[in-house]
Amino acid sequence: MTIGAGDRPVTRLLLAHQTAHPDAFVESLAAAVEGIGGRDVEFLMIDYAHVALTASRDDPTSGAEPAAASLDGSMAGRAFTSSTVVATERDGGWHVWVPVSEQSNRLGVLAMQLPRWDEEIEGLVTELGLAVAPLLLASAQYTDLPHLMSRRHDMDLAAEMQWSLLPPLSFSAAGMTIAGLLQPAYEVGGDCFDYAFNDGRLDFAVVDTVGHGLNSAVLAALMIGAYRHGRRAGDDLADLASRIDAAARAYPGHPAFGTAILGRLDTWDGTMTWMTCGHPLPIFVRNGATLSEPDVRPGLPLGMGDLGPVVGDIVQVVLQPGDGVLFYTDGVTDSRMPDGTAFGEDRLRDILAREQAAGANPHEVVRRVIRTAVEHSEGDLRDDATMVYLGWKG
Amino acid sequence: MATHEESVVGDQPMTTVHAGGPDGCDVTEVVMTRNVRVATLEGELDISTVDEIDRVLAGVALADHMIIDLGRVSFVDSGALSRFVQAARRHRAAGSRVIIADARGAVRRVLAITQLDAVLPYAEDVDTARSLAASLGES
Repeated sequence: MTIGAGDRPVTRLLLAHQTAHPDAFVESLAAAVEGIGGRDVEFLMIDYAHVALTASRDDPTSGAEPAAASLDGSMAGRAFTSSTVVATERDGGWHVWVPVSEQSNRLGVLAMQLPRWDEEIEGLVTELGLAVAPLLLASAQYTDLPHLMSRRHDMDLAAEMQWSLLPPLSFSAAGMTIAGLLQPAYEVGGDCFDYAFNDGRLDFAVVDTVGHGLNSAVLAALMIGAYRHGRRAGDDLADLASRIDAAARAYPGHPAFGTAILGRLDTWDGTMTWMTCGHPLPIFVRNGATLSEPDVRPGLPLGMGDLGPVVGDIVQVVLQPGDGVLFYTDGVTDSRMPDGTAFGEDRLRDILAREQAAGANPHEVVRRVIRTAVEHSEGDLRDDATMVYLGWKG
Repeated sequence: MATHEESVVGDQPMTTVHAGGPDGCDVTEVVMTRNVRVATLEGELDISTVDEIDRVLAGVALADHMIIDLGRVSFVDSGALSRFVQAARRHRAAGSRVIIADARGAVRRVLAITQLDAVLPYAEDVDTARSLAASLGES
């Protein structure tokens, strides 16, 4: 049996999308797979904390707790973490889970029942997964549906603002992947990161503003705004630091400062330049082992430029193909077990080395490391914990 | 619950502030000498203790040099550091200085990472901080 052109899921999705209500996302998906006999379609969206996939509901604004699949130990979770289609035979048909992602930005999983399963169907549903992602991202501009689908709890105001500031959590281009995560996802305020890819070069920044909550989130918005402003004006790293420092010092709420790492990666040859403004140093990992800490003179945190220089050493390193660099905020290493033992940098290095040796993707590396830190503190982090991992394949 | 006591030891007035942290083990005190005062902080200093830190640091007149003794502090986060920085700015504006002293372990490391040890200034122990303060002169 061959599927006719009019029954192709991608075609049907695009046609249904033209006239569908903005929030009738699951209905469009159901219409998309009708031509291949698909039914019981569900979209499972990854939650902000990257802990569970939440099934979409008819009425996402209702207060009822939605059904959720854990990332570890469910078929949907397997499709998500491995970025591959998973299918199992069940009751004479097939239950199928299709990853929905745009490049390395993983949004969720499409689940459905299908009457048959072969190479042709697998190809059709795989391309459907690729088509769903950009539609979903675009719809987030005019409906709250994707934002509501990705939360499992109420979010406080600081976190709401913070999330609207962030770029996609993961992005790949030209042999480079950057992936970040923030915890506690529903109460975060003050930790932030940003990046942009232009002309073969990746610019990135990790910022940890002082304190916690709304004031920190507003300050983070100001600092990230100044960062983007300078980046788009063609600032070099030192100019960027000065510009963000000036913005933070002009902020009326005192004290206003944030530690930061600012950097640039040339994706053609792996040359990375970076500097730290009072921020914990990044950890470099190569061939499954972490490298020793670089000897770097830091600048002051941004916003303290009245006390001394915010520009310290600007370091240049040449990455080797396969290298990874982990940036993190002190909330990761400061997380405590109930007995008071800090997570610490040594533990962080061990886990990082292990995950890199196991060949995990950058987004899986950050997810697993953050999960380990959260488990370490038994879910009670004392501060925001953010991690950004940059992998370069060459 | 924080308490505030004033007493006189010998010829030198002494102000002591006891500030109970979440686990009840944070004790802070301000010891006055002539124009160099030592603010001693204890325990874990994080976002939950900034009000106590502010109160202790505000207990030192801006005209005086202030040594912040961290010898018995086991943890500081950026919220706590921000209070030191604010105190340093206030004292600078008044012509005096804040000197951080005797940070250990993880606390010492945080001061190095944030470069605060380079700008506040920093002394390895309280006696050195006193000499440093004396060399800065009367304000």
